[in-house]
Amino acid sequence: MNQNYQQQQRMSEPPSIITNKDLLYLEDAMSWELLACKKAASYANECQDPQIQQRCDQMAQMHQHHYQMLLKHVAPQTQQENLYQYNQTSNQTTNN
Amino acid sequence: MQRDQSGQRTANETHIKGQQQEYQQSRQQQYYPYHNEQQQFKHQTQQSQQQQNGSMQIKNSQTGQLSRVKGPEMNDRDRLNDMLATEKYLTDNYNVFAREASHRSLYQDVQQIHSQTHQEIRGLFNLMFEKGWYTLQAESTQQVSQAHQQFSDYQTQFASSQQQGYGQQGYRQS
Repeated sequence: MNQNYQQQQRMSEPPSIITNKDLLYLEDAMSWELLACKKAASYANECQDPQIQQRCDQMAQMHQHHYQMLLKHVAPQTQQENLYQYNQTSNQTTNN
Repeated sequence: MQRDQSGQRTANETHIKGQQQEYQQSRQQQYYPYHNEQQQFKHQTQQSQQQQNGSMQIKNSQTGQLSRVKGPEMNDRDRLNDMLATEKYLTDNYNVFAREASHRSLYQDVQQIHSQTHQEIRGLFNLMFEKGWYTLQAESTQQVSQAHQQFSDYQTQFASSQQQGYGQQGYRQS
């Protein structure tokens, strides 16, 4: 890894790898989304006004969707793909 | 605008506070404890006073569904306010997350979530306005024009003499 780093071209941006900081934020964000989703869903049940009910339902769906978007970033499959890609590109640059 | 959207402010009906200076007479009323009917009454008096002063209040009339509810239990308006506060909390935090995210695909996703959450807040605000839970106060055209004059004059301080500012033609031309 260290060797690669010295030999390869400079990276113009960080590789698609989850850093420790990313993970901490992702964990936080997923718990916010989960809570927001639960809250919106439970309010949707309690509300009297159908318009507000619908809005809450919609919000619950949005938060669930966001949760899933974030979850994808920590999925093993994504990690494998990212690592594979990273190794490919660093091999390429060292071979050249 | 931002302050008007604050959940807390509407929850406590403190948006009236901003108009304090203009309404010395009603000052005492403004610190009445939370009570729906009194609030509605205050609204009406404020409105009529305002019309006399000639400034414009932008507001939908309330549907009246909520004034019946007086107990400690949450009503629909409380729920919407709470959701609004939640969404605001989320955008604040996603703002930081987006700034700190490492690689591009993560950054892009976080930004997308951030902007969708903002849109949701806008939708919530519009819904609450539609329900008559937000009162906006139009600034007098005189005050607005005065600000325009003042900040037009400040333009001499810019390094570039270009009047258009940040446009398609490129702001780096010199």
